Amino acid sequence: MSPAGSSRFAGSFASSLAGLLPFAALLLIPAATANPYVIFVITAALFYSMVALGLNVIVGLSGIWQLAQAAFLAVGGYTAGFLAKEYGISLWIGIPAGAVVAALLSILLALPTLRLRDEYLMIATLNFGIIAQILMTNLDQFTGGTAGMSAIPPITIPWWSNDAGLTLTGAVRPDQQYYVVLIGFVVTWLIVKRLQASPMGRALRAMRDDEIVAQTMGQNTLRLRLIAFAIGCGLAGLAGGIFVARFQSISPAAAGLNNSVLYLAMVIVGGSGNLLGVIVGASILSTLPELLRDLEKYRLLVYGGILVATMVFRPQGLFPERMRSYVGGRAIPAARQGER
Amino acid sequence: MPLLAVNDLTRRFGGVLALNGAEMRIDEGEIVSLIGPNGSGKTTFFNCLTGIYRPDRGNAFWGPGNRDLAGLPPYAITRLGIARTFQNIRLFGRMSALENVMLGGQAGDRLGVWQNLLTLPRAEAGEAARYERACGLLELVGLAQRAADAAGALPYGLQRRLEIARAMATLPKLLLLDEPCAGLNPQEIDALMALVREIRARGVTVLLIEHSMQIVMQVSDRIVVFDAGAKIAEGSPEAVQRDPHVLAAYLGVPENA
Repeated sequence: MSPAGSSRFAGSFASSLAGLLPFAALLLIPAATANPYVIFVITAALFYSMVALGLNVIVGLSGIWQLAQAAFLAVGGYTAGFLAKEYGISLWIGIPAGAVVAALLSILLALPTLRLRDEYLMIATLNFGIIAQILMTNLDQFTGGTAGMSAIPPITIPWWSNDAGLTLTGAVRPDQQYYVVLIGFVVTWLIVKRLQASPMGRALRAMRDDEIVAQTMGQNTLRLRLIAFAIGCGLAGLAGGIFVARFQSISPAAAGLNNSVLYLAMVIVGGSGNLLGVIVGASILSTLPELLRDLEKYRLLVYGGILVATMVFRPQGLFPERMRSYVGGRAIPAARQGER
Repeated sequence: MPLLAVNDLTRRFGGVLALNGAEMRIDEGEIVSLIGPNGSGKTTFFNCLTGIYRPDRGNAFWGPGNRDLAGLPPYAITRLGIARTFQNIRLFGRMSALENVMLGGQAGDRLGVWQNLLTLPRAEAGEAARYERACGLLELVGLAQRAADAAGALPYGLQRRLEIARAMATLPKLLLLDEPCAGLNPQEIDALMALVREIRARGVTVLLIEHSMQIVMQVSDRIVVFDAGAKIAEGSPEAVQRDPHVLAAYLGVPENA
């Protein structure tokens, strides 16, 4: 059997970059509309998509139930904010540093707990999130307490504009916020996409579907769980840094359990394991409150309704994970119908 | 030196002694069959050998490197060269047939995160080689035309063969087949036995769990009989068939004996 019709291109790094082309249209959005509200809504959708894509590595790809994603996001945000405020370190360095700190912290959490299974591990992450939020509230000297950090020096895109993308009051302009979030989204998307298409991604899916068999196929699943958890939490930290760059502030509320649950809902509603689905899920659940402004009071009710409806009518999500039709850079030769 | 020498392997589940001092020797290039009544400890024996269960007592010396397998995790045992299939088929049903086999092919893969994320040349070369090998193995088991099908959607008989291809992809020296003929029709069984011989011809030693004496007679060089978690007989197919212990275990002992 020859790898018929194969192209070395498919599945390669270059093809992941090519997959970004549709997103290129996103570059033009601020030019297409002057309405800051529209830009705000799209920025929020992109931001939540980035968060959900990172969580998808843990939940969708690896089957680990994670209820502390918001806490790791906040860790990244506080790290970037702290470095910028106390040491004047640029957010361009602070944001990756926040991602690294979140990843390292996740490894510390994972080492004693990743041997736990399913719901027990979920309880462990739940507790970690609560403890993290309490620490952020009470370590005033580092975090600014309940009020959090504000007036964090803004991120500047040097070649972008003379006023460094700030409004007269010193806030980050909507279009600049948008581009910062877009950068974070693209980086996250590339990492998640590459991981999913790699041999390690295959091993993760195998582990998720049947851990014992994955082990008898030579996979050290404890190591795999650790890596997936660290990558997912690192991406949460990255998103936290982007959050800080966007709002110049962060507070313990960002680490809240309600946020972790919201991120989880985005992954599940969209279709855990399917990147496009995850983006759609995040966009829907982040835009919905804007569309339902009048129903503000019932927001949580609507969320709950959507989640329940998803679990009942489409448990695999709006866009279920699809089987990979190419591997190792080649298309899988499809069965010839006549020979069946 | 034998390929595998198992001594005194014992495993208890609560009050049940599933394995009670089981022994076995396997030489390189053999096809050995393990038979015994239901509940005689055959599958527990496999699970202890492959690290899924940790034996309470005993050891299993692996010839290459003379290592004790008891207590090693499953992935380490697979990497040493022991692969298995499962009595109740356990494929990755949502993956294509080809990807199931390719997963087996990355058993010894120790690429780091960055190699994977950036598809560095070493990772890419590994995938290309795995792809070729997986295609070859699918051809061996007669699944070349079904490479792109979801494993879970294949007919039962083909799923059994796919499990063998996946296990072979880990490059085993010893292949453990847990009732590979269960649920197959006579033609499929004949074809599967031909496949087992072909696998042995490729230099892989085979240990086979089987219920049906007929099948075992066709293909085995040697038969080991378990009852109540221990070996009760061993020898050529003909010898085992006449062994009074085996007859007693399978048929029971007459009252007046």
